[in-house]
Amino acid sequence: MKTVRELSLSLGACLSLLCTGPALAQPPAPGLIATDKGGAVGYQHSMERSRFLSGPPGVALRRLDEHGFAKVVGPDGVFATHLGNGLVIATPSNGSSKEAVGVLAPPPDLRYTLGPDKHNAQVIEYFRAAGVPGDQMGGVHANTYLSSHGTTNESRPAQPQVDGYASILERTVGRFSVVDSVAWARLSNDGRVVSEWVYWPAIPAKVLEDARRLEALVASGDKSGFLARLPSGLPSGKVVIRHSSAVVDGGFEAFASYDIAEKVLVPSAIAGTGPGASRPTASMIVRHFDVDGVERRLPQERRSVGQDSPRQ
Amino acid sequence: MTRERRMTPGNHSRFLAIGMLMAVFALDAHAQTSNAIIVESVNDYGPNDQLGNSIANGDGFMQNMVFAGSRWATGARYTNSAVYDTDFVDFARNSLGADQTYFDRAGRAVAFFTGHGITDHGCSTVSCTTTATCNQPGTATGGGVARMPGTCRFSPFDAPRCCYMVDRQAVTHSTGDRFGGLINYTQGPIRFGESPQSGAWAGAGTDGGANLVVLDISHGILPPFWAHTFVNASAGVQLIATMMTAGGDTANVPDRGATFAMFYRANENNRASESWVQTMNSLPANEGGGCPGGGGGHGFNGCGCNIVIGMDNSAARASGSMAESWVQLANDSNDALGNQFYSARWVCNYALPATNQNAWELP
Repeated sequence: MKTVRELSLSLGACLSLLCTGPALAQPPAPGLIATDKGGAVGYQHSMERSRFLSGPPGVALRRLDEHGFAKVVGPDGVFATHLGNGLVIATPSNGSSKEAVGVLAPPPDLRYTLGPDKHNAQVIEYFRAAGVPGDQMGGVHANTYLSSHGTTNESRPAQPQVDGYASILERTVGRFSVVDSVAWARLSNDGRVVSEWVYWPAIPAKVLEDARRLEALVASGDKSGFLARLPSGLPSGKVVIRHSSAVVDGGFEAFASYDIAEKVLVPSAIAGTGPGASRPTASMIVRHFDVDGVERRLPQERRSVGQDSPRQ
Repeated sequence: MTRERRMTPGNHSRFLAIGMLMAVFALDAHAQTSNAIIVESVNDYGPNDQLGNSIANGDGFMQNMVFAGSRWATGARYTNSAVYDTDFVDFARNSLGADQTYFDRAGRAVAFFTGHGITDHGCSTVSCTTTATCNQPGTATGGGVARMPGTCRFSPFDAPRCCYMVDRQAVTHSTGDRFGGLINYTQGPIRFGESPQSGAWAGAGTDGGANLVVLDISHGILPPFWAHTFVNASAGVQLIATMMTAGGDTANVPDRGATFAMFYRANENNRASESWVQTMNSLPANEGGGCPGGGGGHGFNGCGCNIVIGMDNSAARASGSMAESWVQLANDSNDALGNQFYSARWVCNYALPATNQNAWELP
């Protein structure tokens, strides 16, 4: 039996089709994403499995394809599924013009006041019920939303307030962290999803095999083997699984990686080079080495839109 | 306006080229809307001084903002030595500046810089239990010129100690630099967003235009100086988005920009401010160092936050800047009419109790 929301969604989709004529692209099928033998299944999120509400129950929703997403649009928000890689982004349509807003705090129904631990527990339960494989939930942690406002001539700023949390699942397959898989949700006090993001692709068997080989190579400490092929001077790393980011277009890539976090120092041009000059750490980048010791770059690290604009 | 469209990611890159040609339609200084995007990205800071991923980061933002059917157009893209510090300097404040032609040109909807920040932190080794005792800026070490106000700052990394206000700066590296490669947006000749709609109240004329400035850099703000850091640079700009570290440093990840823009692609009626702070949630958690007590990653090596600030001439308008949708971001009538009030939001990569009112400083 369909829920009221599902009926509304179906009705909205039918109306959309009748009104617009052209067939709409089908987003990826919801639920588990199959993989090859020995691989790890993925998970495809969907409107039917979500607690995000694009609009009040009973209100017809609109379905359209836009900017590479299949969207379910209601008066309160958009549930968007990327037609290429299945990424789901659900966000409220809470924007407005500056003149239309006269409030100093977010609407009360978006606040979460029950603390991060409770939020984490609720989000784990939510995603487990939706269908995310439980054995791939390696952990969960909360990010904190805060806000502050006041006048700019105060010597001390107003104390910030905590507005809520997002709880983020950490994906593991076997012993390996799958770094680029991301699923998070922000809840309101009543357990409704305020916003969410889910990208949980299947991982091919070969990637897992390579990860196990890579782990064995590193664990052996063979100085003439894998570790010897890496550039000198790097700190130790960890074996993980990397794959294409949810926000890069093109074919899906995944590989087992020995990830090394390399510190980046303040440029010598501004740090100075004389006696006593120090170069503190200014940033960090992560480098990836595959099972053959070859440095790899992820698709999102290879982006380029081409030439610079002419200077005037 | 929402239009029916059949565009798959597979042909996204093909449409990108068409989108970039739309640059010629960027609006002039007196337009009521702005739709041009400029991205300035620096990987190369000299021999053995590479900051990988900046160009990929900036280009990712451009790719996910500008495509056929998008409301945005390519304004300009500069990388490495083609990024001059003068691009950011206001001509009315210093005649060597040329921001009216580059970063803060009229018609800019978003001006995005990705590269180095500076590490000056203004902290002393003097422990404290209350901010009232932090009144000796001369005790600060760690670079920069420390001054009041002080703060009894703490973080998951640091026990409470007296810290002081120091200027924040972004860094370029080019033979075209005229300010030593340093963009001092706290006290320097930087003014963002002054326009015919905002008026000339900031003493920088009306030849600017950026509605949203993104500074994707290390230590863009140090807590709790979110207002002090940008009050001078706020000259009409609607929103400023950057990074705030709370111990640790920024991880220069390649897809912060693309992730931010992906929220636009998914829902242009979502708040732009919310899109920026939630970008943090969507970046990998297990990349970079942890934050003591839990958390970390998400574009930081340690503890940090994505923060966005809006200033205006009333509390209501400052608050309203936080509510601006992506659609409204283009609307120049939302340009700030003053900088007397601020509103700020941020998301940090670690958990704070719901009742915590002292997240960074002791009162």
